Amino acid sequence: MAQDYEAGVFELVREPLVPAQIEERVQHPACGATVCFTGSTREENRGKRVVRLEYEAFEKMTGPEMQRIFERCRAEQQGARLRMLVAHRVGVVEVGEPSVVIAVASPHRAQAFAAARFLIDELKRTLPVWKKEIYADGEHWIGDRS
Amino acid sequence: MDLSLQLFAALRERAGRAELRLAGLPESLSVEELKLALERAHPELGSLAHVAVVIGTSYAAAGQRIGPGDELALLPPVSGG
Repeated sequence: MAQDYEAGVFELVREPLVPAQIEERVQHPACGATVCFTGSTREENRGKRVVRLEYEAFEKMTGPEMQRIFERCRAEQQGARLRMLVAHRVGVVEVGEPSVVIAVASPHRAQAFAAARFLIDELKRTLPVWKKEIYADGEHWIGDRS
Repeated sequence: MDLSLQLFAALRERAGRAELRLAGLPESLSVEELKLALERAHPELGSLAHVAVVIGTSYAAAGQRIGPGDELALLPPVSGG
């Protein structure tokens, strides 16, 4: 099945993400600008050394919720052509690895930058995914009671 | 009515299971009423003030009504990215 990058494609991934491969998939001769945002896991947070991270997702809801985010993004860019791909890790992610990659291609750079920014901000606000940090002496679900 | 709810992340760990069942509820109640009933029946979950209720695969508004057969989930504040 052909993937509809203009509607937006979302993938939950259990293997390491390769940003260059994700970026390449949205590129198109009509699009002079491609923006690729990579979010990676930090070695330190809340003043503690992070050993590894675990991501959990409400898998059945992530696809529909990400489609709603793509729709809001297209509405915000008022008909500009956008080719969008979002890949998010789930399961154990080692420190320093990409946990999310967002690639957007568009004819011009302003829309590509704005759409990539919109997608990461909205994903962090509403996509049903949770991150747990594991420390040498404990663990913490980010966002929980903090 | 009886309802079952899926739990995720910190809520799942606090409850010690991935699904909760609530029995003997009114046949129709709002999202806010459901949260109050849950806090009473399952104090181990803690405050649900910042917890979102999902019906099917969509966030429910606070006043939205819940009925028999609805697929429900409780989402602690998300932290993806």
